[in-house]
Amino acid sequence: MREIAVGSGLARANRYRFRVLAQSVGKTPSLGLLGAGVGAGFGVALAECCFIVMVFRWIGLSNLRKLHFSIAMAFPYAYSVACWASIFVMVIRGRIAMASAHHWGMREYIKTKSCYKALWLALLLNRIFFGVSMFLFSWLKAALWDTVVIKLQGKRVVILGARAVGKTHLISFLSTGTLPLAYKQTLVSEKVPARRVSLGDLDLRLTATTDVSGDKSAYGVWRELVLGCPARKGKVKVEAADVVIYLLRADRILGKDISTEVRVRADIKHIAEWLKEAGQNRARPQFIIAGTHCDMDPDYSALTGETQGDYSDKFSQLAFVQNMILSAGGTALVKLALGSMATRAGTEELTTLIFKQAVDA
Amino acid sequence: MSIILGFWAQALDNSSADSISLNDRLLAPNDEILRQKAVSFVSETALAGKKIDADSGVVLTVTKCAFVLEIMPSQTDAVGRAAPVVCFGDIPPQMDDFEQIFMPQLDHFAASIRREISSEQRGRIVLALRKIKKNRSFRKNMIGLTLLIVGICAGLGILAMLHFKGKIL
Repeated sequence: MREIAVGSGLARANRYRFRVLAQSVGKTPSLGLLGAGVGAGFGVALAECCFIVMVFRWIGLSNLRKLHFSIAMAFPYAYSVACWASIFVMVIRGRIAMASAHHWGMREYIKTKSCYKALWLALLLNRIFFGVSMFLFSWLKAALWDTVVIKLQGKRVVILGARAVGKTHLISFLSTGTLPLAYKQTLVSEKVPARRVSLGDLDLRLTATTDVSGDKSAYGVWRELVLGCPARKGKVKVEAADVVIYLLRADRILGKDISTEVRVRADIKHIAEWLKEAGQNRARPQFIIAGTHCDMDPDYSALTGETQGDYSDKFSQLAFVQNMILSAGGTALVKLALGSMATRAGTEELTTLIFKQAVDA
Repeated sequence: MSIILGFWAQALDNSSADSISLNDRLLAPNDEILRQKAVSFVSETALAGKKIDADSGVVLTVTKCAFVLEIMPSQTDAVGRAAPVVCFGDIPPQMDDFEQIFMPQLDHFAASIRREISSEQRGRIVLALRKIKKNRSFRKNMIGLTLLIVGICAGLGILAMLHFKGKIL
């Protein structure tokens, strides 16, 4: 009877001690335990991040800017360290409680088991949340950083012009920094992604645009590119243009080619109307006329740096060009650029010239 | 006039008007309204749609109810660029005899603008047309599958809630 009574007393005491232990799970841990947890958490999170960097490289995101990548990694990494540390502390504490319960044969062991379930659930949720936050931060900070900047400060550039004047060539250069390897007539409109372009001292933030056909039948599409168009059923939203670049064959204008003049006159008439319409609701888009294919003119290849200005003056003094500028709003609203896109250097030079006109305006 | 089936090709000399055919009728160069409507239709479909087939010879873009098929024949234009032929239209509700309607109209258009479509290209076009049909049935199946998955997940969620109620925390 006495032994039983002593045993009962011990059992009561142990039950009390276990309850205290079990209640301490999830509460503020001791400094040593916290240090061990943080250390372990730091190590595991580092291993995780190394793994994620490997995955990023594998899926081709290794070309992100280093600074952006580091910032992108820092947030979820810090979060992961904290989560892992807390989990280690909880697990260690829980394990102590469970071992004690097992040793003492207490029924409260069941409660501890529930604690374990909660811990593993927390672990699982942590991992899911870590993965999602990692992806979102990295994506937003690194991949979308330029996009965000472009969205806020970017200009929507629209490139128009008759067939085979170099629209696709220029768009390709602006969107990828390279010249197309193979050319095809552009019939079906193609989306061109946003891009931040550095050309000499110019830092251009260009929003997404569209490469369009140069046929007169595409006037409806051109108009939407200049004026913008809201999203409708089966139709994507088109933002209004900030800069309209009209390409024409300068060599043919200089050679007084009648069909080119007729076409350019019709195009400019329409574009001038759209620009006027656009200017009624918002800032009038900048308009730049860019003459291409100057390399086809023998006089152009003989130019030096000093005589280049004379060539531009000769072009702008043509009666046709003066009429064209006048019908588009006059010299105050229309800028002119001339060049050749036969080579990469030429394309770069003409692009710089075009955008310098836009910046100056 | 609603668009059912159309074809569009740019002139090889890059100066003559583009050839556009709507419902087996070649549009005149001065038929500006219909020509612009056709080109806008192609542009809207291409921008809103999804490219489901883009091999070297044929590019297929589809939306829920329209398609654009860009075929790359071997001919090049005056400046050496590849000169594609674009086929476009509404996706008919019944796709069974679409191939029989489409191919003769394409042949007629290609012959009228003196473009050649090789037998290899024809094979690719037929495959692309079948993909339009497949995409349509896939869309329908995906809606059913999504509903099924949502139902299963909801059921599992409720079961888990009942099972773990009062046990987890």
